[in-house]
Amino acid sequence: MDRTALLVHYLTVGTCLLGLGVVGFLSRRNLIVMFLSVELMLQGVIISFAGWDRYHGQSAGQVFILFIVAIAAAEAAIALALVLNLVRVRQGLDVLRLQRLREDILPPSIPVDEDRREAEPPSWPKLPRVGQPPSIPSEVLEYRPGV
Amino acid sequence: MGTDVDITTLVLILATILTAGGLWWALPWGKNRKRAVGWGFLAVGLAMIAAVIPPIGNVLARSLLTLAAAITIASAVAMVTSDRPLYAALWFGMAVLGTAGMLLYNGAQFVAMALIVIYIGAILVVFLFLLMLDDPKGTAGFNRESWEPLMAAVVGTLLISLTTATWLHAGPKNALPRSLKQAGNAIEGTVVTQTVDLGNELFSEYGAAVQVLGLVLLLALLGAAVIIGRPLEPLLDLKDNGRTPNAPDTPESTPQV
Repeated sequence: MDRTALLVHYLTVGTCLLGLGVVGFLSRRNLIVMFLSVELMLQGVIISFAGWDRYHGQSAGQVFILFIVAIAAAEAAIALALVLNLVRVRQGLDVLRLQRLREDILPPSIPVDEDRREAEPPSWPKLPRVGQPPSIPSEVLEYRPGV
Repeated sequence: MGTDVDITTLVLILATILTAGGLWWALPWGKNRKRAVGWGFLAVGLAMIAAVIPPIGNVLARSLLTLAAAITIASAVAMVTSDRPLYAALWFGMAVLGTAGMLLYNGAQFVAMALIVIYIGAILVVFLFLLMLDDPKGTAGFNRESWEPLMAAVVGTLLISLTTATWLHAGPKNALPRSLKQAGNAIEGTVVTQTVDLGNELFSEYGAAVQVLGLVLLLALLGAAVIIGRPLEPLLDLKDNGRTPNAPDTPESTPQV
């Protein structure tokens, strides 16, 4: 088997994952999907390391892959804490809600209107029709929360 | 320079255009479109990139590697273009599975298993938990819109095609440094178990690095505990500058109805 051809295969797949991760990180607006895109770029690097590892016939590439995975785990722990704090403050995962973290003299890059979020349809109380017994939900019959 | 353009370069340029266009069309940006058209263009472009890289081995080896690579890249595309965050997380898990398949093909059994266990078992579950905090089904506007989808698609695709072209043009001609050609214990053709070598090398040559890595993990744990255990009042200063009109000032003070 041609070692160089195999290496080129692995590097191409790795760079595809890296490019797709770049696209996701640049374009998506969900904070967690952006984190997942960064992890996708790490997957591309992992595949590249695997290709070089086989190419050289050593185990150093696998050692580096293990290091990458450990650092990714540490990153996930820190991200969990940071995102939980951000959600407590900003009430959402939209990165637009974080653009006021810049200095006050700079205008926001995109004018914020919080009402872009589609409003839920209001739930009006439903009255039973005249002459028919009202349909009572089963959980009301079981637990009687209003009584 | 100008006469250097060969068929490979032409195919790569065409593949770049197709991939960028398909990616741009498949990214979520609001309107109802036939996004399958974008995925089709994307598949054609990526297949053209795959066609220009040199083939390997026999049919079985080639098809196995192609299968793993196709699973990986298709899952990555689906993750990036999905407007539902839960589906994006699950597609990312699929991409990790494909990566593990490629590592397994390379003879890195232990690392493949570690990748599955740590990435899907730990990291992905953490991210799934975080996704539950806001709009996991993707009905909100910020999941259905993208920043600058065209520019992002062009940048990512240029990264892919330019690096691929670099390897293709550097590969056969001025191939390798001599030390790499003379790598004595290079494995030709057969896949052997490398786990024993990995363990030996990990705890002899990289022993100090493993210790440092353990320290980094410990510090990450402590840092997460410090960040999340902090009282919220200093952070609320940021809120006065931001606009959260719909949100109550202190969530704890909302009356229980």
